[in-house]
Amino acid sequence: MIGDSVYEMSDNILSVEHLSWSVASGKRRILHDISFDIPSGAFVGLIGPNGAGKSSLMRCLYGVHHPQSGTVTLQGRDLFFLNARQQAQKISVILQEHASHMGLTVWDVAAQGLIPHKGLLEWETKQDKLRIKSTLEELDLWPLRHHEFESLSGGEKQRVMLARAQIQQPELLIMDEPTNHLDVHYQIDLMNRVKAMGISVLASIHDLNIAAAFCDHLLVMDKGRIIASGSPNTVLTENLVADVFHACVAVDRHPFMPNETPRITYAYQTKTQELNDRGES
Amino acid sequence: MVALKNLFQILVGALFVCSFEARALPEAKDAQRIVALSPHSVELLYALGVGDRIVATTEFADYPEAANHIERIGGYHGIQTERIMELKPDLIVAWEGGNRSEDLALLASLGLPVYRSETKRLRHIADEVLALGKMTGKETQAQQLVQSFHQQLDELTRANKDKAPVTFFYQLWAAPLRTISTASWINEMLAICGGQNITTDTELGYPQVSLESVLLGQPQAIIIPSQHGHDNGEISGLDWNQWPEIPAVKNQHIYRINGDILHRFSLRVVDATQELCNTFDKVRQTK
Amino acid sequence: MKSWPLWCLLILAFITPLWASVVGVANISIHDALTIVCGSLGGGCEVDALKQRIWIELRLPRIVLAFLTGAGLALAGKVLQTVTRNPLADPYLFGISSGATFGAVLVIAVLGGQVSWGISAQIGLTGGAFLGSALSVMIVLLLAGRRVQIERMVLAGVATSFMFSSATSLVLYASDPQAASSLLFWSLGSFARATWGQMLLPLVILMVCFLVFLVYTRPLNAMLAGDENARSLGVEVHKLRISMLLLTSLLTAILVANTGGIGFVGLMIPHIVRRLFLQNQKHLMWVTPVFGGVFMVWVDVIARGLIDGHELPIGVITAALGSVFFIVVMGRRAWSH
Repeated sequence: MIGDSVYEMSDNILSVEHLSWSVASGKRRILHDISFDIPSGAFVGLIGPNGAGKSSLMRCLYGVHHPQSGTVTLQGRDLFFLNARQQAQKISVILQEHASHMGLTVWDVAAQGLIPHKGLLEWETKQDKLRIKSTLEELDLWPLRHHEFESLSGGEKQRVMLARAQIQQPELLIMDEPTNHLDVHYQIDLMNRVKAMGISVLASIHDLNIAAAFCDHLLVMDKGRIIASGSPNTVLTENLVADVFHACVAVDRHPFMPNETPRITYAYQTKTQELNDRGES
Repeated sequence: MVALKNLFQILVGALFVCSFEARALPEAKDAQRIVALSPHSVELLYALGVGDRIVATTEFADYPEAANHIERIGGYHGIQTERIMELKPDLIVAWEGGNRSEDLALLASLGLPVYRSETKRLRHIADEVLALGKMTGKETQAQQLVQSFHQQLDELTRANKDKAPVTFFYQLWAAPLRTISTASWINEMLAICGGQNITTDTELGYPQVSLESVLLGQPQAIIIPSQHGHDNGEISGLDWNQWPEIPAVKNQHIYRINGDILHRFSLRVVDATQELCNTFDKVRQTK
Repeated sequence: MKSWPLWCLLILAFITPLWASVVGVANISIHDALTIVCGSLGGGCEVDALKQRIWIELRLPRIVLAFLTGAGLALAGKVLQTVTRNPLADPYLFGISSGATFGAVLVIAVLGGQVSWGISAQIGLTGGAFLGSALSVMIVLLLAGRRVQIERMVLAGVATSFMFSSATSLVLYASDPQAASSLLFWSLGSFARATWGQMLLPLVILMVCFLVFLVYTRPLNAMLAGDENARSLGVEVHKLRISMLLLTSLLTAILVANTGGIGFVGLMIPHIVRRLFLQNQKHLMWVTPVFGGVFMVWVDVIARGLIDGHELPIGVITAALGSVFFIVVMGRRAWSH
């Protein structure tokens, strides 16, 4: 892996080794030999341009795609030997967009987090109901509990998804660009709530500053490979951002975030313009 | 496509209204080339002795035997009007209700003489014989046939007038359960034999009824017309033996009668009526 | 969560069959009905034998078959809408109704020459219809591909429907008008030939399907969240989808084979129920079939009683009644917002 990791090698909740995935019967390779670890309790961010393969990688991890090679170990057990239900008991997912849910209420959707833990013939117990209630209250969703999920705003929907994820009691939370389409206020709110949960997280994030602010560790993907890995301030350099994102930025220390969090400031020019400027000076 | 079809029908209908002379008896006096568009008209024409003048007919015209050799130009679904025109007939004997009215209107609008035979009452058979006789120059023959027809029916009426009435249910079709009511011409034949239809409460000639109404009607006889001539697609018959509450079932008075002659509007209805009367006599015997 | 709508429905579900059993050509009052029940259970009540026969052998089987059919079609529709996440899905998604009609037509055309009596002929018609719908399902599944994609499936179902419809029309065109009219009546649906014996198979299949659907309520609802979300909740999406599709097809095929193609119920009843029972979404899995069953019993009463001495086909009335009902429910909601 390029770059050094400054985090401690504690127990890894997830280990990915040499994962590759292709579509169209092997003709088009999307993911090339991906390897990384997620330490227990870490908030790991996955950044990279569109088409880098971030979503595809995540889909391999939560069972929608089946990689052709590589191993994924979850708490020491091979993930692909577990069935869907067992996987769901350990991993929960928050996506960026949601199907209409055809009439289900906020309560119903949140309660879906119980599905992996309940046998087909088991009822919801009183305890379950209390847990759903307290989760909804924590997320300020209690007054909305009988509303149709479809009728909620984007930010509210994501909070419901977070409630569902919490109720699922996972070891690892995977989030696929959860802050897209959200107002800034809701983006920050969501990330703070997730961080407060204290569980291991793998999240793909579009906004580099948010990634810098919330993640303990960053993985940078481009063209199906991981090209950088490390803490935000080691990974987010001007050169990397220029190479990977083709944007000119200035990186300095964030004035009021702790832990030497980097701050990305965009120069609103294209690269060619910049080169011209440099050439001139 | 549907819009075009509707438009066409409207146009044809308009033409038909304009050419209302089709309603009256056509001017034909001695027609030599006849297109007969129903099996019963074919029979009547043969009875008049002019069967050889028929140049085309529809399917199922199977009596007398000679009729099977006449060219077929259609049936219930429609007739080949082009072929009819090609044959240059001087009389078309059509069937009101048995041929598609669009086809008939089209023929009339093309200036061809069309006679529409009505088949609503038993006496219309006699009317048709007379009309056909006039149009083919066989009036004397027609008079004779009609006289004989009335005579035979009168005899049957007289013979059965004083006999005990027999209540009956006429099973036209099993699924759905369909019968004839007192409004149908077929009922007239059964009435001549002293039969009393249990289905009287409707103006529809051929209503669908429920099994309940048959149970309530308690008929003494059940008449089932069967077509020997051709397959009629009736495969799920009704098992009357399940209902011994019905007198007809208990006393085994379920009878199959030749439906070909029962339902055909020809002079052979006399034979059919005779058969029905015999059947009812059987019922009266074992009552 | 208000439970009075549920109680209303249950009460209605008990009253409706009783009321339906005293409506008909024969004059049987509620008093008569109770006497018959008492007499049959050996309570020593004096009973008119004819009325007893009519009530037990003609009326009750009809009502039970109507209830079963309504419940089964509504349930199949609901599960299909859930599993395909398509509010326009109905039990005839795979061309089941057209396939059944075609099967029935073939039986009539092939066996038509033999006039037969009794139950064996009825079985022939039902069997043919069932095979026709099974054939239709197989074709659609083949066309839908190895990993069942919903859009392909829906298109394949539409195409198969058209194919069987045109084949049916062709056979009908060439056949006796009486046979054609009879088949038209069958294809529009009727409970007139209901017998107790005929009902065992549909009842068993309905019960089995219902229990399976009930047990799988949670995973089924998870499908509403989208395939990816459902997978992340531990649901084997493709397996569940295929097995639910097959089960609903079986249920629908057996019902259609027995009663003909009754439309509308499978499509609309789930929507009507969802809108009427807003506060009781949890119970939809049993509320939908019960509501569908009650609805169908009413429809049958109307079919028998609307025109004196004449029975209307069921399919015509379900469409008329159901669409009006739905418009009213939708309209109310639109104006109350």
